[in-house]
Amino acid sequence: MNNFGRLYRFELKKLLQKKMVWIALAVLTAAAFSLPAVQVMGKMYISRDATGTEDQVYSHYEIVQRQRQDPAGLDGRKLDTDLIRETIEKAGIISRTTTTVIGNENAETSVTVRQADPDETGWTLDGYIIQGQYGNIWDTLESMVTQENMTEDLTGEDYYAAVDAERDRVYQAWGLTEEERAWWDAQAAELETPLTLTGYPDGGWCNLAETAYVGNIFIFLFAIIALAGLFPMERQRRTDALVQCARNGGTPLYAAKFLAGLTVSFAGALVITVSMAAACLLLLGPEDAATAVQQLMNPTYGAPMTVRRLALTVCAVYLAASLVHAAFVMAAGLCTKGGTSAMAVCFGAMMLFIMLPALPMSHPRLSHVWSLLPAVFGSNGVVYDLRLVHIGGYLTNYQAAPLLWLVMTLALAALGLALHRRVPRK
Amino acid sequence: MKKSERSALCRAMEAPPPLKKRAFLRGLPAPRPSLISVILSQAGYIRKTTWVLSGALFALALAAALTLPADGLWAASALTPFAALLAVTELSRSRLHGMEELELSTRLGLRAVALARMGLIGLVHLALLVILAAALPETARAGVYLLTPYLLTDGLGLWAARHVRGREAVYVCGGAAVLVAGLGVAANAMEAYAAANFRWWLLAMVLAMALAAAEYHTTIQKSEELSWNF
Amino acid sequence: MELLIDRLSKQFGAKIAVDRVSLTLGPGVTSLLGPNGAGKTTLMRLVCGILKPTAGSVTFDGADVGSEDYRAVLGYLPQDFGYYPDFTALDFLLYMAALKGLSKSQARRRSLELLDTVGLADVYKKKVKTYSGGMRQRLGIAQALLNDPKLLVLDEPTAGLDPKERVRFRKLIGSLGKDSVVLLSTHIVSDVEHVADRVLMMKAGQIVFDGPWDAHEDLEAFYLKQYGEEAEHE
Repeated sequence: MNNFGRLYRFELKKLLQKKMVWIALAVLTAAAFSLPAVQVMGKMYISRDATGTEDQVYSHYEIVQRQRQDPAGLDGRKLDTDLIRETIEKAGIISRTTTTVIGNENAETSVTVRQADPDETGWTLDGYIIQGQYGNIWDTLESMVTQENMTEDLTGEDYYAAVDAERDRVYQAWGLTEEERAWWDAQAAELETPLTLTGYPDGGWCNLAETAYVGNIFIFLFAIIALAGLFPMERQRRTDALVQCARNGGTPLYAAKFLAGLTVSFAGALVITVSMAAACLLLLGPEDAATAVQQLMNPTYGAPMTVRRLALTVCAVYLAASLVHAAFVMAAGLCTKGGTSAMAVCFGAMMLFIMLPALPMSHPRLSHVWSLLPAVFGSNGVVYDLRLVHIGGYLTNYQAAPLLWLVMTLALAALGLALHRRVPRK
Repeated sequence: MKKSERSALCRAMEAPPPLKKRAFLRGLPAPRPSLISVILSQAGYIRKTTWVLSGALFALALAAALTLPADGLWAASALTPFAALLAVTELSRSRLHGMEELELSTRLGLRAVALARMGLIGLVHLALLVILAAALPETARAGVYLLTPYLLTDGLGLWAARHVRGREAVYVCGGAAVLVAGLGVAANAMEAYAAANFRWWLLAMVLAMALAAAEYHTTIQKSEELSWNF
Repeated sequence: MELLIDRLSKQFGAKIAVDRVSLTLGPGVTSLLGPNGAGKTTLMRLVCGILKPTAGSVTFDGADVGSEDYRAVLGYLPQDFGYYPDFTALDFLLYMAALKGLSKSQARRRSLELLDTVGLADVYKKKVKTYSGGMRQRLGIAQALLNDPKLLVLDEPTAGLDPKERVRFRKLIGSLGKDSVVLLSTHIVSDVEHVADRVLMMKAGQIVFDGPWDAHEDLEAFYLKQYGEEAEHE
């Protein structure tokens, strides 16, 4: 009998008995909660020069709660010519300045546009928020339409044509093939045009989608602290001789330890993710669930996607990443034979991935594979990388990454088993 | 007597064996070693790995500070906890390797050893931190960003070294260093290094300083007696 | 030369490990016997000044146990001691000599002399982590003798030594006992029979017997009788 179940429970118990695991989980969970929480902390003056009297002071929490109520009444409006004209009127004064470089015959005209101060509503809470709501739409328009075309005559058709043109440019920048472009075009055909907006796009779901990558760093940290010593500890506690000469001390024990490590890492990741999600949704509100990513994040994203679906997708993906993180850390422990050295190696790797979020596009395949690594994935935003993975059909990065990670986890497990069963020469 | 005759006699005759030599030597008061000699003798026993790794860490942090204008500050800040880890493990070597009891019973005592190690490593690390801060823009502010994680890891590590027996203490100290460094990395993602948030860093530094000072004091106090509860 | 222990007590929480022990030890070998948990190691640690007593005092020739003068004449071998893994035997002794305040030349001379005495002269350049248990124990004995101590405290010194090494050790202790105060704790009755001038038996933190050994023919039977065991001897 290999007593796998009993061994697994004992290994789980050994991990959960370590105070350091619980302390690390508590600290990282608190940190994950604080990520969105800092946005509702503090106060500000709503006035022209950011100073004033007490009745002009509002807490960020108050401002967020009022934003959730959509004072401009934009929820459900279409981003069409009428709304564009309304936005230009409320939030954009177009001014143009022409600069001529002296001595240069082909002088260039520099066009600048700037946003208006509130005038009708004045510096009130509602006025500030309404200005902000139109300001978000203005930013979206400005990100797509060239400065020469940002005029009072801008129409909805002009805007969507600009989006299509920019999308083509992005496809080219990512080096997409004709087939890949055709695939994205088929997805884009399902996009709603004109786009239906929500009045509160930058809420809890949007923030969850944007901060999930930092949560991934926390998940990796937890795996490092909890699991780096899982295998080396046997040697340090001098139980390795006892264990290795036992009947189930080889593969059954390794499998039990490995699975216990995966379990603890996944459970920790779940706690951290739930904490972050709870903070986002409780403090910033879930009213932005139906916001299209094209409204706030990436207007050129070529498939229908709401921020809620995006947030849930990235959270699920990072939960899957917790398994690869765990496998990597445990393999590092077996390679280095020391808990502290395994920690150092894994932390060094994490720093490397954070500081190198992308490889040059001159090596397209390498760059693409690098972007799918669990510690790098999503660092530049999931909806900005439009590369596809060709396995049978086409998969987006967030569909392909978990499959790659499954292969990586299995490979690391096999490596770990080989190291665990290796009999030392001295 | 001529000198040559005297030297010939010395060569020819064997000196009588000393009587009660041991008792005589035992009766002599043993010279007290000076503070400098204690510090210098301990300097030789601080592991070369500690100095090499400290140098390598600071060199890496300096390289990051000088070559990465956007990321240099937080990268350097994230590396200082590992320098603190080296300091803590060196200070706690007696306890980690079960040498406490022997060193406590010697003339110099564990306290003198601990103080000498603290002073030496602390001074060198302080000098390296100053150089690193000077290489970063806004030196004084950079100094706060570098010192805070270092002191926090110091305090947590010393606490762990006193409460965890044997080699596992190094692992726990390492965990503390990774946690502090990791939070520093995440802090960068939260734009915590922006000037507007500097007052929170000052507060954190003061708290970290208080923690480290308390832990150093307790460590020195505890080095006068063996802790029995293991 | 006199070790004076006056109403010494040590309490850990609710447990009294050493209970008002008073002793005067002069030159010679005094053996401390007792079952596990009797308080022998705690008493030895109090005598070495590495534990602070709850009550009472320990002085040697007038010097208090906490003073540097006391530690200058003390040699101690703990029951279980560690080592810095990358040190060679010579490094280890030189390090301990530095802590004991010996000069460099004195330290080197004395270290080499003691390595020869304990039979490690051939392996002193090898790292301690490669040593067997018995070799480490001999190294521990050597470090205890570095400063030619007037007060020598040895806790289970022959643990891990083979019979030949034990005989050698007994001779060494016997010679040291002539002009030093030696306090020796052991479970090995034959060590006591061969080397101790005086026997102390300890039980539940108290001294239950204090006297010369040669007053009793069978020490083991006497020991077992002290602790309520009916001896079966062959």
